[in-house]
Amino acid sequence: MKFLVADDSSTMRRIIVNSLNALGHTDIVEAEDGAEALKNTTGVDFILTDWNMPNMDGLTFVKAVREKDKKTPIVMITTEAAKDDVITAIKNGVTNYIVKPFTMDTLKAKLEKIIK
Amino acid sequence: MDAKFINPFISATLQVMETSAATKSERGSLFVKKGEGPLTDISGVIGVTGKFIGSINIGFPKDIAIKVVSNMLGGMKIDDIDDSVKDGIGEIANMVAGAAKVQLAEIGYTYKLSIPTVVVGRDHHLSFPPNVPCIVVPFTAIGLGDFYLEVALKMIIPIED
Ligand SMILES: [Mg+2]
Repeated sequence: MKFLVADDSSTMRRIIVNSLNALGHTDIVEAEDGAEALKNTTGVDFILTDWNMPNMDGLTFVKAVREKDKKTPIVMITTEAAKDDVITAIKNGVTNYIVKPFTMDTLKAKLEKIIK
Repeated sequence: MDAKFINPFISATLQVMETSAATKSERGSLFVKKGEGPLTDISGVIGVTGKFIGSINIGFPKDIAIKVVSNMLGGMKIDDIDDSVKDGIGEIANMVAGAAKVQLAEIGYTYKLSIPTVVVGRDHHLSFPPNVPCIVVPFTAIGLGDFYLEVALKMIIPIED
């Protein structure tokens, strides 16, 4: 299974990638913002994206993906957790939501559940 | 600035430090910044626009910044303020402003977050526009030492209270 991880924070990408690795997933592409993520969606089975990123934010990225692809699961991993933000994200095609901050263990547990 | 606008930032800081950096902290007494304010080695800064404008700054001495980011990365060894520390402190600021945003949205005050910027330099201090009040909240990271949260916000919509 191939994953795409988009976050402008390299620390956050490392935490997410480490969690995926710990779950046995190693086929992972990383992107620093939505624009780079959009160029790397080919063959991806699972998308994990931040919201607040430069150039193209996560919501714009999700909308662009959903214009062509209604199926690939998209997990939003973000601090943007006000009720209206969550509703906006889900309306635009986000399938799961993980709120920052988290411990590595909770992130792993949540990802494991979602990926199944 | 009303306590109800500062408290979300204080609880967000405690929560982010404990959850993502395994660092328990205690808050000290807040004060209004006059002149230079506290000196730190690295600060994460988030600009805010919406019902407030201004910025949120979280500043750390070098040793604490390194420990915090090392903890975020599961205990990774870090020797100095490198790119990973800069990035990690920016993300801490992002999470603090984001977690406070959730609490403030619940009482009807919404804002947008900028992308974090990080300022590095031995004993620097940050200045804010003179017409924006800045509240400093000192924290003690238990067993590590002191760091500071600075909240400089100006209300755009007047509040009836
Ligand atoms: Mg981000």
